[in-house]
Amino acid sequence: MELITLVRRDAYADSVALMRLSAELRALPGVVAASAVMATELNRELLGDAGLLTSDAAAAGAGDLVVSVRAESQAAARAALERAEAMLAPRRGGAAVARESAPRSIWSAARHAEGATLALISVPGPYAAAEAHAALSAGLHVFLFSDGVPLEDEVVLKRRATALGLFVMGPECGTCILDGIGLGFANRVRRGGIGLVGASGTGLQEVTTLVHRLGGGVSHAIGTGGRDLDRAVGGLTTLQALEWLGRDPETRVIVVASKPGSEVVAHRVLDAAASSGKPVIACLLGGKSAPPETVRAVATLDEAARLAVIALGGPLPSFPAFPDPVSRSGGRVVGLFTGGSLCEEAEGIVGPGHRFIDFGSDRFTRGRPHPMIDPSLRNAAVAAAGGDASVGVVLVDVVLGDGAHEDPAGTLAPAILAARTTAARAGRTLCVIGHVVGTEEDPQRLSDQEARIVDAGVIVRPSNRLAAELARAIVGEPDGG
Amino acid sequence: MAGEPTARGVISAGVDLFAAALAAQGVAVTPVDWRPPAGGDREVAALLARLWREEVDAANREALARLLAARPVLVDVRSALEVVPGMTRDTILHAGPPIAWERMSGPLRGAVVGALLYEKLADSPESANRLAAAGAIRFDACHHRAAVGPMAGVTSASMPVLVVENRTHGNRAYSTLNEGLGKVLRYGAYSAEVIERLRWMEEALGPALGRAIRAAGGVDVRALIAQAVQMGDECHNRNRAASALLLKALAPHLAALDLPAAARAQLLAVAGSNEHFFLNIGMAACKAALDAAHGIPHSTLVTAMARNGTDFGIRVSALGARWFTAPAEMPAGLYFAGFSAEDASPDIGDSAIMETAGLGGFAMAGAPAIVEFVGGTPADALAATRLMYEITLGASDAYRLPALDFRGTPTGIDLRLVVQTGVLPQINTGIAHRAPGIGQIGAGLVKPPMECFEEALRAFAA
Amino acid sequence: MTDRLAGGGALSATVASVHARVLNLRLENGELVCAGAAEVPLAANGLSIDLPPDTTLRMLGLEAGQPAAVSDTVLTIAARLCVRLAGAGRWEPRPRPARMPRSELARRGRRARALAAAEGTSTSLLPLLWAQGDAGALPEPARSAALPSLALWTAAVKGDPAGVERASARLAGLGLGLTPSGDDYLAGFAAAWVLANEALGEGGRRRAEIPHALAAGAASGASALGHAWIAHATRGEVAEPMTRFFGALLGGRLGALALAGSARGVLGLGASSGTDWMVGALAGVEAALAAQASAAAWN
Repeated sequence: MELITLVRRDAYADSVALMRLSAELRALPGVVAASAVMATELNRELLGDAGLLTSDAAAAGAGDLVVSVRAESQAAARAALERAEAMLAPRRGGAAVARESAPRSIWSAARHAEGATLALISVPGPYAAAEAHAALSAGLHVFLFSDGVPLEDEVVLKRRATALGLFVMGPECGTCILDGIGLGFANRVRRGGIGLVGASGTGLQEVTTLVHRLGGGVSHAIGTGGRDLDRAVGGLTTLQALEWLGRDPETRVIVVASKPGSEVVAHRVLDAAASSGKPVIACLLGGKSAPPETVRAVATLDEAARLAVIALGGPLPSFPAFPDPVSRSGGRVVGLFTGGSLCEEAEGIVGPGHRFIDFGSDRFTRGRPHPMIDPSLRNAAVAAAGGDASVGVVLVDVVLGDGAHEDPAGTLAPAILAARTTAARAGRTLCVIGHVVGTEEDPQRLSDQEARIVDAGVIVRPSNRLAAELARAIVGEPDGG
Repeated sequence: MAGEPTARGVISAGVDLFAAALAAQGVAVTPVDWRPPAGGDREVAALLARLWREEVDAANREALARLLAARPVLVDVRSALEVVPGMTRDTILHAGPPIAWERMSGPLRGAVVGALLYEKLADSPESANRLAAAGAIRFDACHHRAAVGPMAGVTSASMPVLVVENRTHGNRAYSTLNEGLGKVLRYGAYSAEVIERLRWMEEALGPALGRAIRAAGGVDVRALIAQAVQMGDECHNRNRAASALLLKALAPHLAALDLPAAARAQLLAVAGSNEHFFLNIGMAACKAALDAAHGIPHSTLVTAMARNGTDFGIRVSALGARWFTAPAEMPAGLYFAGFSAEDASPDIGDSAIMETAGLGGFAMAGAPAIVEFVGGTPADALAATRLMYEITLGASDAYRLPALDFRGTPTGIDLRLVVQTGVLPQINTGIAHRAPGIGQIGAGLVKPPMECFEEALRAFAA
Repeated sequence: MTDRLAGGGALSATVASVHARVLNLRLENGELVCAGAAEVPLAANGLSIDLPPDTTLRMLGLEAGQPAAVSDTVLTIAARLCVRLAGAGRWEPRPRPARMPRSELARRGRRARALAAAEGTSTSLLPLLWAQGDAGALPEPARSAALPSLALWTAAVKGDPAGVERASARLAGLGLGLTPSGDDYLAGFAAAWVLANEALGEGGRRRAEIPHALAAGAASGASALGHAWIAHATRGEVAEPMTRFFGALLGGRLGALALAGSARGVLGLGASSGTDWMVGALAGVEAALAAQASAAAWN
């Protein structure tokens, strides 16, 4: 028989609450007798009469709370006291205190949301740092979608986050996939062994969807924001992500997709990737220096996806071969994109002397939603291209996934038809080439979306690179190096 | 080494769209009702960003721990001259931040005149006025002398003061005895009746209470408040239960005093009939708790909120002796018959120390009757307390509210959270007449001016 | 308003709408009059009547379409309700701003805006107070109102009545509610423009054209009540809680002490009406200040 006591100095609890606690303890297995009382003289006497008075309890005063338990075994007694501690613990809020209005800050939300692990911040740029810092103080990782955050703020945030062992993904981070959950603009892709770190949202979307379409899967895709590899920031989030992907048992292959920023930082980052011991594929658009030996460098996003899937093992994936285009038209290529990296990659492939517009850039998003949410500005430009005699090929992207428009192809198709009709009436052939970034699992469904634009006369290619190469071939540009 | 980044539970501030996309994937999302700080002031936002850091968070944990660990005990009643630091015969302490005679409001001036008459430093209201205006009196804030006073809060040398000791840290705080309702000094009255009552308190009530308290071995104020907030008190505007519990604790010792029966009966009657008797004790207890949490480097804990009828002032733990002031606002509330908002004095009194320590307006969920003062419902009282969790560092261990499932009251106002969310502390208060000597004309709710908190925030940057 | 009625002799009217404690009358001259019980905030076009606490207007048998008559002494409705106006207390819906330097008005405007941002209702036009170019991120109704409200501000500052009229047309009727958010915004903007300009000592024909253009633009899209309140606002006449707010915002030094309290009194009105009105009013104040600044630059 075990008799133990818990004494809480200067703790007050209501007598009804104490009676409830006593009753609950008595009902526990192995408990013979239990009592929770304020240790007034009278109550100490009652404990004595019940055989529950220990020396600790006897020494307690009227302002102290005593829980005394007699049980069949030490284990049962300890379990009962643990239960008592839990019932006496300060409550966080709980179901009974249903919030009637939403929390006013990330800090207070974190105090009341049990199990919150991450803060998603998309407030206007000038205010984002204060919110991100509060999130770090609350022990949360940060997905920082906001743009217009000063560089100095980014540096301070990431240094602090690194010291705390937390991630700051951003600023201006559009895409993340963590443990299969998509944050921001993200696609539904198969889980698997490829871990990605990237500075660009649409870049990550292109690689992850292609990985899925080539039969592979994604463990995590971590966005770092566009300036992470700048000299001032020093690649802090990229390094953190690489270190973690290196440790993560799910991740067997690592892909780094970024703009190089500072060469020194790019080098440091690739060295860190190499030291993970896992196969690393790096797509640093515009990078100049040679990567470490163990890192495979590729020039395009789709090649990164292909090599990553190969590195996972299994059947060799490839994209279907396409016959050479039948006719060549003259004229220029005009690229009208909703995704920045896709625009950049395509422009690099097609070459100079053509017109490429990224509708997601600042110029077009002042006072307007992002074109992936509301593509009307881009679509209008597509329709207008039909009236431009110098244009031979229109190149477009269609981005699916969570956060994107519910039917981007559906809104684009009429604009394409209009453009082609206008051109036809003027006696010109207008070629429209497109690539849909997405998977069959996305809400919009890849096959549906591709079918819609094919019906409008678009030549669809399964990767951004293939679409751009086709455009270049059609306007008769010589094959580039 | 970084912890694993996951999105198991997400808190979202900003664009709805992404929160909706997460919910569609089955993730638990908590959206924040976000507003930019200070109406969008970028300078303020930048300051806030600098104050969320480990040094400040650690200092705040320390400050909150000290505040919550305080154990205030009522130990004695003694004359102010004896125990209040630096007290002299020509010193008059008052509520709120420091203020010169020229700027003092009606009720405060009236109380000063009354104190000068009581101390026999002047023999008429006119000569009292001249004395004060001539600079012959040392004025200081009660707060500077470890003291607090409700309404005008005027404290002078001969007045008996309650002595509350914070057993955890050893520091003490003082407050005058509550005179009761009606025409009293703290509302600026200075008639012969008022002076007479003050003398009776000095000669009879004070000493008797002191002896009873000492005989009782002190009164555990924390335990008393813990019970009172579960009996419908919030300990600022409503002190009925606390006053009764106090009397219950002292009654046997008052009864045992060696006094003529009539005198003893009068003592018990006066103490028993004053529903706000406990207020001054509660105030001194909160002062003793907050003083122990003041002066911690880098801490943004608000350690005092006080008004003198002209200015509202706050103090912050890391910012030492500095006050951050702005014009006090008019309470919004209900008025007794014959009075209206035009008659009201701006907010006055040190009693906002209750809210600073997590009681008063912060415990309104336990005192729903209070909201009748502003035509509200019990649901409004719950909402008012809940909102205060937005700006506090933690919750009380001792003071739990049955209506909130025995959750501790929101405690430990964080300067950063006030400015970042725009949510201001909710204070329950009595409303005084603007002219001296008329008394309480109503009760209601009031908030501090946001300027105080913004100014304090800027002081951190300097 | 009773003074205006006194001049014209008796007017016939029709009950336009009936609610529990408020009804609206359409006078034969087109004006809308609002008659409400004591607890209803007094509107600029309003009468406050002594309706007993447990009585609703419907209980008195009043319905839309019934005939009514108004004179300077009495209001009768359908032979069921007779309200004695003779000897009634008068209330002035038009605040009298004090002259003040622009720096002081700007300072008070900033304080009011900070308080509104912190304490206004969130499902309203409140985000317009801080959303600069990020309209895409806003929930409705703020999203639809973002560009038109910017256009209204710009046109008022430039002294472009046609632009004001166009922008006003896009805002009128926007959003849900008895008075749609856009109507409340326009009423606030118009009243604040008129009164703030007065406080700044800016008279002039160009200034005066703006409120009229605003009202003209709102003519077809605004709700009946919205239309009435915009019309009053162009004369600087507002509801009672708003007079207290302008009294603090545009009053003397003592008046400014009541700024926080009076702003709260407006923000709490209706589900989002008060907040929407306040957002419009703050925009009107800022437009008046900006107009003065740019005019000075050109001179």
